[in-house]
Amino acid sequence: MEKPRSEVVLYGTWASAYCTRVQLALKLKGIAYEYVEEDLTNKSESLLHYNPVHKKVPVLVHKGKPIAESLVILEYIDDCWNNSPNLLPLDPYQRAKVRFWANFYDQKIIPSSYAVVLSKGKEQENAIKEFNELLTVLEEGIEKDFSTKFPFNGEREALGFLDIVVGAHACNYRALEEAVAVVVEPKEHPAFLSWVTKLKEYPLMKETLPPHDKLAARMRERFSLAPKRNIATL
Amino acid sequence: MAEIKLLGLWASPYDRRVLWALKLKGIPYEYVEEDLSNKSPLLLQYNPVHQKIPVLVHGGKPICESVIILEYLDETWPENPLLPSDPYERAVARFWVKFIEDKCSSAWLVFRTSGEEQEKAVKDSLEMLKTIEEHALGEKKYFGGDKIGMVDIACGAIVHWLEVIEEVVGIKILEPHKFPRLHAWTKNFEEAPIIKDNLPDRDQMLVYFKQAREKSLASA
Repeated sequence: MEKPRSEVVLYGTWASAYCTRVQLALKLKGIAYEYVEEDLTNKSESLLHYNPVHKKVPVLVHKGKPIAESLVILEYIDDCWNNSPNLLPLDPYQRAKVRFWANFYDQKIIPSSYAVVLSKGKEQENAIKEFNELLTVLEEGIEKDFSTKFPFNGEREALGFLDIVVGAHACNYRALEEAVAVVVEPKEHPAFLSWVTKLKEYPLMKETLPPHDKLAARMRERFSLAPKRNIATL
Repeated sequence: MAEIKLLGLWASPYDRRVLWALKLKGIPYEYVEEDLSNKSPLLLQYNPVHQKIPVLVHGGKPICESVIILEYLDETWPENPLLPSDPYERAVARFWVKFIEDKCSSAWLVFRTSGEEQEKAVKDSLEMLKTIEEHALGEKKYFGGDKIGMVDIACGAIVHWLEVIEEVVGIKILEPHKFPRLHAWTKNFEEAPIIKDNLPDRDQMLVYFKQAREKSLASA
């Protein structure tokens, strides 16, 4: 018989950026929560019960009621615990812009990064090229849409929605590059890299991101089908 | 009140979602029909990233992506809300809107492909509908209760277009006996006051999508 859970429970896996996002949001808001590490090769009854549709992590369970999908969870956290700091801006137009870029990152950048790690040779070179093109679109778009420069898209010190959405994934790029290939061309994306670097230094991010070596080892193991490759043109 | 322009395409379900929301909220707007084979400078200026419709322009400020537009409309004009007021119910609604967005591509693949690829797309579409039938729809009239909300709008567009796709490709997917709840919901939705007056002309849609399918198969 499972012992009764706390009011807020997060089912996740340590290496998942989507789970890191939720942890960042919970911690930023000072919400006490219990974390349950899932073994995705042997999913718990709880996970299957709480997320029957996707059977994936992260799942946030609040007073017994489950919410799945990281972006939905982030919005829920912001809605439910509407104390400072706000994850999303308060103005509807700003919110629309933040949502647009969060979606862009999830629908374009993340799949593109998978395409890189899962390909090799010429196909990988093309995937890397496309990835960098998408990154340029992201950089230019964010600089145009938000009046404040990187980092943090805001005047305040706390992380915002985009910092969480992008940072949880992007701050691990070095682990990915060690395991697979150099992906982000530094000369082409100084703004993006400067943002990611500043995010990595942010104490909350440092303590929440998965440990670099452990993640790199895990990526090497997971993507071992694609050979490591150093791009000489950098 | 700053003026609202909707850049759209009459045959697009994404465009239709925004139209329904504007009508449900009683928001006046100017409609600008786009020709996607000859995109206007306005569209390229307002949606440089995707160059797609719909684009809502409010007082010169563009908002892209139908679901993001719906959220914007709901936050800016809170009367006749599209999302519930309870945070948990809102999260449930957003989950289903996202589910529909992520999975509806299979319906488009049914339309654009043939042979094995189409068979797989049909299978995926059936799975999507099955999940909605079993997990999303309760015993209530609409997804969120007795009023039309964001999930209804998001789903309604896809289901309504699916009816056309089915006729164009000659494959029935949303069969009433297989999906009784969805079938009942579809009737409720398409007969609802504002929705039924704002459905695209069925004959025109059939002509449009028959031609589009021929083009799509020819270039495959």
